[in-house]
Amino acid sequence: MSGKKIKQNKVFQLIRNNPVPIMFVIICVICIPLSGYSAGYLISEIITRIVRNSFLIISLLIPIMAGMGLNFGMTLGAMAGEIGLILVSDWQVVGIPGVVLAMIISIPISVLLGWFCGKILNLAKGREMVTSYIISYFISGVYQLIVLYAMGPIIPIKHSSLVLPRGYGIRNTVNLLSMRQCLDNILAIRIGTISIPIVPFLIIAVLCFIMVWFRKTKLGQDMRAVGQDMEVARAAGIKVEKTRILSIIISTVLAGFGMVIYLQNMGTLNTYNSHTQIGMFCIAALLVGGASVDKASIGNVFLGVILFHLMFIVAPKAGMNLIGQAQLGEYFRVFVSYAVITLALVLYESKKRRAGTLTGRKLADAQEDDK
Amino acid sequence: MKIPRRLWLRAAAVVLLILIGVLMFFIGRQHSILVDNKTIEIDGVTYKALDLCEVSIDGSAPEELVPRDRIQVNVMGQSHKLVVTYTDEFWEEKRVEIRFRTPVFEEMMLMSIPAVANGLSVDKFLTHFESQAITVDQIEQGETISIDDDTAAFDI
Repeated sequence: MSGKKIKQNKVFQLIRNNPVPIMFVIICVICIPLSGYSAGYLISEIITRIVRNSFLIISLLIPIMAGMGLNFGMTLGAMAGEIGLILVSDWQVVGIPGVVLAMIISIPISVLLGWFCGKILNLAKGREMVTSYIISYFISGVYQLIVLYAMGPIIPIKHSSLVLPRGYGIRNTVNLLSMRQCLDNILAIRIGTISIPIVPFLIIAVLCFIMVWFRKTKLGQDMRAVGQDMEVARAAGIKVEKTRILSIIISTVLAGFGMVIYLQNMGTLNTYNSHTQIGMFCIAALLVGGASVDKASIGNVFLGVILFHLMFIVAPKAGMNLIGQAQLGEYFRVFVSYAVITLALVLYESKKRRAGTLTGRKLADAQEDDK
Repeated sequence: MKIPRRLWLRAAAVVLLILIGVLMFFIGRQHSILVDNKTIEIDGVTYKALDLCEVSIDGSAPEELVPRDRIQVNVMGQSHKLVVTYTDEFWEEKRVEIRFRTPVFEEMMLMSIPAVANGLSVDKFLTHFESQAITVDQIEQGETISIDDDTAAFDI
């Protein structure tokens, strides 16, 4: 084969293996000039989005490692983080201590929910994603029941700024101004118009190192073994069910922390809706970064956040400048997140089938040769 | 029965988390202090409001107060430093610098600057304050919860 053909083949392979990131790069390349935003503004916005979302997206890596696919159940951890923030707001604990306390409160709730989710997912092996998606809706109902009815009469909430005028239930919006960007503002470096929050980046870096280290631990190796083949792992003496539950618990706890970091950056908590879309957007971002249902890396997380959120930033303005309606861009971003997930799942399935057919063919050829 | 080492470690981790949580509660607890420059009577003695003073708590930017002024300062934690600078009746500038502690479960307190200037103890110049005002939130008759597919089942 000539060198030119090999090169062409490599390009074709690259396109075939990374259709989603390439599609997003093309969308961004078209939309950036149309939006008319300056480079400084875009970089500043991207830094904010990386700080806000990376922790949440990294929490998705462990279940993928354990072969449980994309954990839509991360919403459970997000809800735990929100409960922590509601309680901390009522106790008037502010700033970084408030953020840390909210994380600590979220831990037992996340562990409990993660254990519950893991138990159910063990009963639905092979259909983890759809099961975790439905569990997130179920627990969202329980969360709403607690926040709407139990907070006030059962769980004491005394601040009128939090409780609905009827005397129980939490208001639509919880103001987190007392802890808004408290992590981002420590040791922030300013380069021109761009502010670089050092502490959140350090936290994310530490989490990345923990992820790399975790893969090499006994539990990490067990999870990878379970992810590759459950039966082989079981034969090797690995407690498959326990390992899978642990992966979901770790993911849920990290999602709880991530949600606290996300909301402290936003400065406001939308009590009944903040968590509903978070799982979808995090999963979409990870897939945009080139991850698949069974393979994801830290690189995918950052590439995904940059590409996905770049599109989020530029699409409304590009829509406005192109058609005169910013809503088109808003619509576009929601529609694209769902489309990306669908496309990634379809591609994953077709790849798996193609690999299956190829293996079958090789086996048939080998049998032919034996005859 | 011997307790396994792993169980000890787990128990220690839980205790450590609880301790950090309690510590965070204490150091992050916010208190609202109403700094008041009004003539006040304490134990039958009248302390006159200062003509002009500057008040700073925990190194915040100094706030200027004239008689009958009241400002709200939000502070974090229990231990605080108060600096009051004022001019007395002989036109001499005086500076009062004191450290005081706020009770953990007190949310709003009233601080009398004339009492501080006259050297009264903390329990005299810093007292519990109960807000009597009806806030806009309280007179609002009903806040509507945005009902979507998830909340539609509830009769709100």
